Amino acid sequence: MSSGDYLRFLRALHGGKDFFSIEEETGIPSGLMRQIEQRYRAVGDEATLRKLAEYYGVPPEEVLWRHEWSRARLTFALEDAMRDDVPIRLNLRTGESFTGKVQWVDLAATCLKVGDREIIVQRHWVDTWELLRPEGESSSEEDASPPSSATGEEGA
Amino acid sequence: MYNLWEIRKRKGMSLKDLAARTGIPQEKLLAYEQGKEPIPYSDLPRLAKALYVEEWEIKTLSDPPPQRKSHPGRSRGQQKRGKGGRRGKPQRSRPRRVPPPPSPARETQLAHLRQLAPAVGKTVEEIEQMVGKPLDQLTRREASRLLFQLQEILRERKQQAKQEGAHNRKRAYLPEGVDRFELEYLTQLQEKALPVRFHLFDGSEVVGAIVGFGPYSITVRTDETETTLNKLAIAWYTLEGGVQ
Repeated sequence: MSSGDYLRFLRALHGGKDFFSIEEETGIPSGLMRQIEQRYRAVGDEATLRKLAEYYGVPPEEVLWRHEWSRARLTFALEDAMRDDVPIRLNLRTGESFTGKVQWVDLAATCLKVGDREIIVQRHWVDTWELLRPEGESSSEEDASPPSSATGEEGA
Repeated sequence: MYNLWEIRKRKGMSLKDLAARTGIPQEKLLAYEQGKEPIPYSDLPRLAKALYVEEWEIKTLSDPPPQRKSHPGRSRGQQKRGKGGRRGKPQRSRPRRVPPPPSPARETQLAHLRQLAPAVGKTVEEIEQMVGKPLDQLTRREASRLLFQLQEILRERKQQAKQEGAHNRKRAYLPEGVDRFELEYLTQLQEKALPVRFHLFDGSEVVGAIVGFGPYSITVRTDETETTLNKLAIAWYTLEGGVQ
């Protein structure tokens, strides 16, 4: 999970406050929260991420190491799965796991066809993922997500 | 009695005007005015009528008009006329000014050319062969033209690469800033008014028909109550009972 998705997940756990309120409380520049959460590239410097980690009460490292992974990584994996028509497994932070074919990919959500059901998964709940290519097909490094935690500690 | 040319000038008429009014050719009128030919009686009435005078007022054989004296202060061009009596361009006593030699290309132009050469896949030597001289011998205008040519080539290549890139795109367009698919999906669900199961972050579930939604929330009717769910709190949702 990227730092953007992770911070969005933390915001959800903390009552889903709006960007403006959090920016005001943490003193980070206005508009930056939205960019951090929604941009595909990694946005925000270390000081900002530390402030947000402190605000959400998680170790800064939990946010910082995820900053290496842009939000685009999950999008790329979903796009690849859709293009190659291969199933993808999404492991959610709720403990659930869905395996299915991607129907569409959006900014904040993706649609998986699981059996005869269409499941809309909000991407900030996707912890890890894996493209399930048929055996023999080469897989790229973007097929799989980074480990769910670098420190082994989960803030939430 | 007056000379024909006197009357014509007094009336402010040109030879051409008089020719037009009388139907007598200009050459003929000129010959009458210069006294080279007497005015025949057949032409007198027409001339008198055109000049609003009596016939007897016109001398049948005019005295030649006085030669125009050249003014010492006048320019050379006004004294001498071109062949055939037409006004020619003023003659120059001084030779025509030789145009200055073309300016050499600016250093910035040359630097730009050297920079552009590899960008269009050519060496500086190839560019010099193309123009037939070393770059530092180019004139400013030549350098400007060459720069334009190279920029055109570069522009075409970029366009081509862009088109090829569009075909070979490995990644689909990243829908940054839009939630088009989800909004379309929610719209369909709302229109169908079918029950949707929302699984929230704390493990709880809400089942109901969508009655409205925005970028950040979805309002669901459950039995007799309406619940607005923050999209942040939703982990996933699906149509109750599978695809309809």
